[in-house]
Amino acid sequence: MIRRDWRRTGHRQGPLPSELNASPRAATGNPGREEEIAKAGVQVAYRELERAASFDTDAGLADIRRRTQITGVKPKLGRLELALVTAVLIVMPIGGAAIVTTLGEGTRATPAASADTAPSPSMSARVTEPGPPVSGSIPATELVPPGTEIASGHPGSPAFTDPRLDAATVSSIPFGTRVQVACFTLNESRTGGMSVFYLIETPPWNGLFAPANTFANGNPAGAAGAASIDPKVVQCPGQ
Amino acid sequence: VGSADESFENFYRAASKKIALTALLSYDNPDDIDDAVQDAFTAAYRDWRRVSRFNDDGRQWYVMRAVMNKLHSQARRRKIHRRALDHLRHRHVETLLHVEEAALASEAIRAIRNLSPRQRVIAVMHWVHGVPLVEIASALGISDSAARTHLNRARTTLVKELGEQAPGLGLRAGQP
Repeated sequence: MIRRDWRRTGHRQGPLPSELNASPRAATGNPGREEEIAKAGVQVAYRELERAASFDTDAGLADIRRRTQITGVKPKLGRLELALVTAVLIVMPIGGAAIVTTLGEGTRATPAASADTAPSPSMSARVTEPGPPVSGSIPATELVPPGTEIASGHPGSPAFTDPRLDAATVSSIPFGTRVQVACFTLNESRTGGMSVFYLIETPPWNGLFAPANTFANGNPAGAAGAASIDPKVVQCPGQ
Repeated sequence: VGSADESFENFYRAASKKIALTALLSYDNPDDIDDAVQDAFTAAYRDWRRVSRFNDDGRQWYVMRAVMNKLHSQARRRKIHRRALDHLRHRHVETLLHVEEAALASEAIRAIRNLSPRQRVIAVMHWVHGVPLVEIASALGISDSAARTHLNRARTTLVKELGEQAPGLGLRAGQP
């Protein structure tokens, strides 16, 4: 009790009465014997506690299951598994992008192949939506469905009411505009050096004729003249 | 995960009481022991893929270290120290660990209550479970010599308390 008071106050008031008569070591004078006594005392205390105590392991296990369910804790992944999962998570987006890029480049390099391949719904939605006229070039990865042509002439593709060029130019299809063409027709007179015309279906140019060589014809926009006609476009009937 | 669950369950059934009793004998805050033990086992389960590679002693030591660290930091935080010793006499651990009140009044347990928590945990781990002082010191974050000092002080106090009881401890009569 006195020792406890000293520890609380921090002021030691001389030796304890028990310390005046004998030091603790003097209890036996034999360190080995002291350790035996202390060790036996602790072991007896533990055994007594062990006899008097019970531990509900079933409830404990249920508690751990409940904790792990609540927190979603599961055994951790090993290092190798963790590395594999991480690698897959990193590679998947990159791989997906690479596949898309490869697909896009493949269709650009072989336009005919793109026409044979039915685009996925998402791709189709991207290319057929009637957006406003664009002034820049079309992205190389964009697919062009059959029958669609991209105006690539500068300042635009002229549109005529008659393929023989007897009528004046009535309109111009802006550069980069995607239009549906019904068929092509020949200008046998070859007036103005333009021999093939597309019959346009897309308003407001529907029913007009535009020179085929002012369209991209399966190539990227801006490549007018690279191909004078898109081989996928059929000839108009009656010719 | 199924076999891991089974293996963990076996470990828990074998070690949970031992660890809870060690904690109960070493620390004064019995109400926190259940939580500390369960937290430590949950951590072991979470890291079971690694912990299961240890032998039985290693697994128990892994959990015991976690329990000790938690209880010791709680004890330090709450500044309960010696005054909380009385709690051990009057309060039970109500959920998982049940202790008969009468057992807590035995001479040996009363003698241990006169030790500090750190002295107690070192004494119990070393003298009851046979853990080397070096490992205990490492787990507690103290030097080997500090652990030895704690053990010597525990021995001195226990000899003072139990010196008269040596015959009752099953020891041969010593030389005075």
